[in-house]
Amino acid sequence: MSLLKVENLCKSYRESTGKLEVLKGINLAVESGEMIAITGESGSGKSTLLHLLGMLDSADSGEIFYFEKLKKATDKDINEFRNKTIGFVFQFHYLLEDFTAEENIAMPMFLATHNFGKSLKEARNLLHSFDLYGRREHYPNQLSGGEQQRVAVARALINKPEIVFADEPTGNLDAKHSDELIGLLVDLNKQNNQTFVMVTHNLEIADKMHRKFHLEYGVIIK
Amino acid sequence: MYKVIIYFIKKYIFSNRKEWLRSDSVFMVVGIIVSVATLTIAQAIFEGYETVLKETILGANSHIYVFLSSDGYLNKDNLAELDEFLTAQPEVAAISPIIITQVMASGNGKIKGALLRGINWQQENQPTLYREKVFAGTYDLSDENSTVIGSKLAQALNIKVGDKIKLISPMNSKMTPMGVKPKQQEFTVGGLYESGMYDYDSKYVFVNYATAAEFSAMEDEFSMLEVKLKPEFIEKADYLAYRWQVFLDYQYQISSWIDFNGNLFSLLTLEKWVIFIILSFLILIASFNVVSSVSTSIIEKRQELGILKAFGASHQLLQKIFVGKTLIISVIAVSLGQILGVLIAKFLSWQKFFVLKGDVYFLDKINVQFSVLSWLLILGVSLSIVILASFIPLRKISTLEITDILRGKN
Ligand SMILES: Nc1ncnc2c1ncn2[C@@H]1O[C@H](COP(=O)(O)OP(=O)(O)O)[C@@H](O)[C@H]1O
Ligand SMILES: [Mg+2]
Repeated sequence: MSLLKVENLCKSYRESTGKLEVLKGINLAVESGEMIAITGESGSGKSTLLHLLGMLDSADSGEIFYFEKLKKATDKDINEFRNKTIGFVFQFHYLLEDFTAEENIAMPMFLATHNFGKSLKEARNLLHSFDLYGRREHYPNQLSGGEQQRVAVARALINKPEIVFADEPTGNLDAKHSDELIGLLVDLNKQNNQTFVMVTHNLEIADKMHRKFHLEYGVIIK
Repeated sequence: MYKVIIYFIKKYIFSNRKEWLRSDSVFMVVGIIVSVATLTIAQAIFEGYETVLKETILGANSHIYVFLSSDGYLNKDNLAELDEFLTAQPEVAAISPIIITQVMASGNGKIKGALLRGINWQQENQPTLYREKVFAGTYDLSDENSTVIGSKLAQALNIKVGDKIKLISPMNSKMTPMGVKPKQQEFTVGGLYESGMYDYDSKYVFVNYATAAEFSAMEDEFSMLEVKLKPEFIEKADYLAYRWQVFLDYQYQISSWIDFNGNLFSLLTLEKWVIFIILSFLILIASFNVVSSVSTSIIEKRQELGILKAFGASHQLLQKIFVGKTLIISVIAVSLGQILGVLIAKFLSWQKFFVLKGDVYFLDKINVQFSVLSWLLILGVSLSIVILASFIPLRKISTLEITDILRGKN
């Protein structure tokens, strides 16, 4: 049973010049414990695809299955689904400025359980394993770019999601921090069997993944 | 859910960025404070006026007045009949006949119209409070040349206790070889009377029965009978007056303080509500600031809101956070407005530079009063308006597109 299966996914945007067809029938499947890279030129629709997979946006046509179950971004329970089954890491850390590192990490769990103490404890465990415990009470603007991105990864993981979507997570990092972050994700995959789908146009990074999909002309070219 | 909401509200209010110190929040808070304070002051003044006016009217008047229905005055037989009837009524506390006649009062070269009142000044339990309202000099009308006069009349004639005053009556004039000579007599002012009713204080002149009889040319006759009711029946005075009038076969015209002042109080109540409604519009206007402040806050936080949505926060939750935040700020602002209003109202009633026109408003002092009812009412009305206003921009949250935010589009 595939964790995620996509059939004939199409997405277009209406623009002043007419319809811009970004995705023209995407088919793919992701198994539990896999690390997948999605590569492609800038503007090829990688983010669009990731948003559709992560239920942040609706497709024009086509279907997305999680564990063989049809899912739509308009489903009633979609907030809970996003909260528990999916984790996100973006190119920008998008941490909440008014909240400390540990509060940011605890946030998805707090939203799910309404138990702040428990969420904070879990956040601290993650901070330990990410070597950030000393930074737990720092606000995002007091952290370096690499630390911000690791905090963002911890936040994506706190609810133990089945799958984590990462959209160019190293896009804003220098080579050293970029390597560190990818190393962290690979470790997480090895230790916890964590599934990742990562958009990147760094081929070196893509090569470290189990499988690569290349997006071009709105379809996947292996 | 409420735990989450409270957590977020605390974060926003105590955040280092102190967004509530921004100009739009400050405008919103100041707008609410000023409009609520205005409303509070207006209500306090109206209620104070109403209460004090009623107290004053009831303090300076008896509750029921009995006149003869036909032209003329109450004679001995009438009084005997009324005395027998009224003292048998369980509602009656005291009765006393009174002589009233118009006179001219002159002193220090000035002259004023006045109302001479011949009273049973020695009566222990008087229907109208006289003894208690004499604030200077003594209350002693035993001498035929002694009088107690209203404080405002004394002021107008520049008269102090112990001074002389001359009263002139056209009623009891005598033909003399020189022509018609009105009755006139000089009195010594023994005391000053002050009821708080401008009209009374500027007109009343009290003398004993004998003197009044002479001035009015009434022998063993009285203008009317004053009746005081037991406190629990004061509000039913109009009904009692009517009942007695019927019982006594319409031989007497019996009126109550409600007949004389009832319209005034209904008008006051009406006015109080009209002012309340008009001033509530101030709060409505202040709530426009609430709309813009909440909008600004949502627009400024849209990235944060988008991220929270991506991590599973429903837009209902986010909306509740914003409403809760506005609610807390509004409760504080409304309370401050009420406190400010009370302080200003207290100041207005304390100061002496600005007074009411006594001849128009009966009272010249500004009185204020605060009731729990109007406190709750103002709190309820202003909070409802403000909270409803804060709902208007909430639509912005439900239409937030996460993908737009992630792409950095505005
Ligand atoms: N909301 C939108 N409206 C119109 N065009 C869009 C919108 N979002 C993305 N696009 C266009 O769709 C194409 C794919 O965008 P995107 O998925 O962000 O590409 P990538 O992440 O691969 O760089 C781009 O040409 C982009 O301009
Ligand atoms: Mg992209």
